Amino acid sequence: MPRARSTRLRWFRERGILAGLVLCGVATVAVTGLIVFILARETSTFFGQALTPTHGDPARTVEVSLGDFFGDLTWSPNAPVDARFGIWPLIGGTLQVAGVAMAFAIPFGLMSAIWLSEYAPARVRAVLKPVLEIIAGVPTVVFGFFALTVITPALQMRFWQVPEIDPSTGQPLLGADGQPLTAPLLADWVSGYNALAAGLAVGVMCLPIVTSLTEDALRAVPRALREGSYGMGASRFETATRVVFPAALSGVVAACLLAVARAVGETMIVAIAAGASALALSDRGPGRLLALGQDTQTMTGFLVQVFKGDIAHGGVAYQACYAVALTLFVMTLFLTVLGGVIRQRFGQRYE
Amino acid sequence: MSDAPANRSERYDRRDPAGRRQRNRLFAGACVSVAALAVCVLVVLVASVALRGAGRLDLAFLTGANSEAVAEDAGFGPAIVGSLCLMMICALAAIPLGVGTALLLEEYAPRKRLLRWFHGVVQANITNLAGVPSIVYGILGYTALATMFNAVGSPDTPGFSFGARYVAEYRDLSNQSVFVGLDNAQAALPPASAGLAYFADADLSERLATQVVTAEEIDPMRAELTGALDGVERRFRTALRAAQPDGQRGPVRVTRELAAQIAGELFDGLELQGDLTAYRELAQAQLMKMDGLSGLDLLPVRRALVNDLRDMEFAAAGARGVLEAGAEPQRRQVRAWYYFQAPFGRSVLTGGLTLALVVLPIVIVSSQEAIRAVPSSQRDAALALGGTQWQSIEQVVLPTAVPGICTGTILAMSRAIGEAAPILLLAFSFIQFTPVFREGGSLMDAFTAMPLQVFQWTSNPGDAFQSTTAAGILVLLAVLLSFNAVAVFLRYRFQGPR
Repeated sequence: MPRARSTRLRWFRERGILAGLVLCGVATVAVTGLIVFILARETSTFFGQALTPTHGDPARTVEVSLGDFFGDLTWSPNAPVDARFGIWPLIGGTLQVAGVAMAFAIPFGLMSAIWLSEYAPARVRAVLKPVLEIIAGVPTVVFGFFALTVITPALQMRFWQVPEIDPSTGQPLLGADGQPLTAPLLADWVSGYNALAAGLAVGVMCLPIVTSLTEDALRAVPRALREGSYGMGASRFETATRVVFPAALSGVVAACLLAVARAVGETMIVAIAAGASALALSDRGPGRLLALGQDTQTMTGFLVQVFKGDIAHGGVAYQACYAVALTLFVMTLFLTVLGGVIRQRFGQRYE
Repeated sequence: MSDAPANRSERYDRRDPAGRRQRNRLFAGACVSVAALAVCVLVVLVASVALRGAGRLDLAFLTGANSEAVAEDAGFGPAIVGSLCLMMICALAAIPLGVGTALLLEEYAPRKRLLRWFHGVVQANITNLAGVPSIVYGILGYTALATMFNAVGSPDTPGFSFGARYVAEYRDLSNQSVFVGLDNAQAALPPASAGLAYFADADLSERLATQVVTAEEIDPMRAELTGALDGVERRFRTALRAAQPDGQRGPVRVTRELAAQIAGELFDGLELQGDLTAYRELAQAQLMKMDGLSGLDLLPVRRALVNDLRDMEFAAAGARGVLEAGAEPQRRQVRAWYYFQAPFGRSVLTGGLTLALVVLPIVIVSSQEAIRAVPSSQRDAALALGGTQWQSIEQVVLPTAVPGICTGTILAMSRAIGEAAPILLLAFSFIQFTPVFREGGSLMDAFTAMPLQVFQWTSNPGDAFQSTTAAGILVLLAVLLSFNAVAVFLRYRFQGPR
């Protein structure tokens, strides 16, 4: 009898454990479900409702429609009168930062990945991989501080101070102590908070992601392909760029898309170094996107501005952050799904 | 490349070998400089931070509380403790959930169609979760954990809680708070005169030294009290005179009715706070003692009454709060260390769980890799020996996979400790106290964390906080490096160099 009981007990235990593990799986799916539910629910209370303005007369309620959100070119949630809620300036700011970041991270990341996988001696790899891992593990607030205190001054060439000239008189401006005031050489082109420095810092942050994911993809290409190429008399460069890289292209594209998703969703760097004024797209049009030296605001930057308490809870700007977060979520989801599809569709499996 | 056009390979043949070798070398050189750039960036970053922050790094900084205004006084203590608490909760939540999901995906190969579909959904979902911006998790944590959709009360008035006692807080004239125990959160606050009874009973009231009333506030209060008592004495005299027949100076007959009448009138129009019944009863008892005494002998009794009243008033004032200032007793919650409430509020628990959700995909993926690395022959052997699925997992797969799981988990924790965005909405970067590890601290404490404190300092205008920020970053990086060192050690110790 004890035998039979123990078998039944074991059966129950097995079932119970499987049920527990299934619950874990359900919980992970529930997280996504909850995110979508919360964002959708709160966003639905943003559109088409009379909401109290952030500043100014509470009686003059603001109503935002979906058409305003995607049709307006001005983002001014804090304006006391005529607050406007067009998402494009925030998307533009996000594109600026992510664009700069990718312009830095993708070429450099691909090159260092190719080098690590095809050229580097094993000992150098053993040193460089942990370095990349450490860079990948550096908190983003640190990169933000880095952007604000190292990259921006370097871009402004703050070590090269020039006297400030009063534009009306042409005379040098004097400070309170009678000494002429000075400013960094490029202060007119690069302001204290700017998209360029933030984008570069985001690029540095994304570099290890691009590098290590691309390297993984390159190393997954079987040796036989390389050996075939070498056997045909190709050089390492030719093998790397014409055989291995094309063979791993789907993985590389997926890696880059993942990095773009990270850059789009990056928060603290832009909150610290990019400033807090949304692009004035309506004034100067899309060309404003190229003024990378000026301050800007990304979608995540706006969320931080709201969350850290600069904007009062309960007002229209606070409600707006859910709509912005949903837009952000949809964008990153699209990028991740696209990356997954590319890897699955175009990925070649070698046995 | 079998499908490459034939003429292309012919072109290769015609190329000069020297040029090809040169291109190869050029590319290799460019790649080396790019890879070196990554190292340089790290060096510059660490150097710039270290140069700025090393001077501020001392014991006072590591243990002191934050200061909003003075950079030199700002300490990192609460943030360090807060981060460590977050890490503990995060690990406790993320590891079982993550490893469980990884086991489900790797060890339980689905045979039924529905289960296979479920497997696919979970796997795809993990990839998507990894891409969700961390600030979105902050919104999730705030809505689903901190406020719980406001379905079970609000964070301030939780629908469910245990481990809390409630007290009524009175303030006395010697700058101290007096706490009187209450039965529960809904119990009515004892009025000031009832507070008197509690005040006399040392078992019920609990004195804690908290600075509440300043010395400047006390003197005018005392003057007001004296004025009020003078008023009582004057009324007492008048009342007695009225009780005596005209011109008569003999013994006074104080009947019960007369005493009650005088006691009733005694306090009319006086601005004394609280329940006057206690005063009236005391006055009546004193008046009864005067029965049959001559007018001359009234003096000591009257003095006794006034003294009694004065004591009583002092005591009541002490138990009641700021005298004549209209201050009502406050309801206060005294929390045990195991205090728990159902909407978690913006607490350490919420922060840790939110971070657990942020790093969950990392834990799952790294655990999956570690489990996958266990040779399937070992699994088959366990099953062939008659072990059940779980026995093979518990006794064969997990022991082999644990180092890999640990490495991945530690790396995930080091990601969590540096995250500021998800807890931005949940933390209070201005708190001065050490969360959890303090008197009355619990997992429901408000918290701050290292990256958040750094962010708050960075957003201060001007350069005053720069060295403080840098010192904070140094501490953060040191913690991270030690995490990474442990992970790397584990990897090399148990897996050999990869």
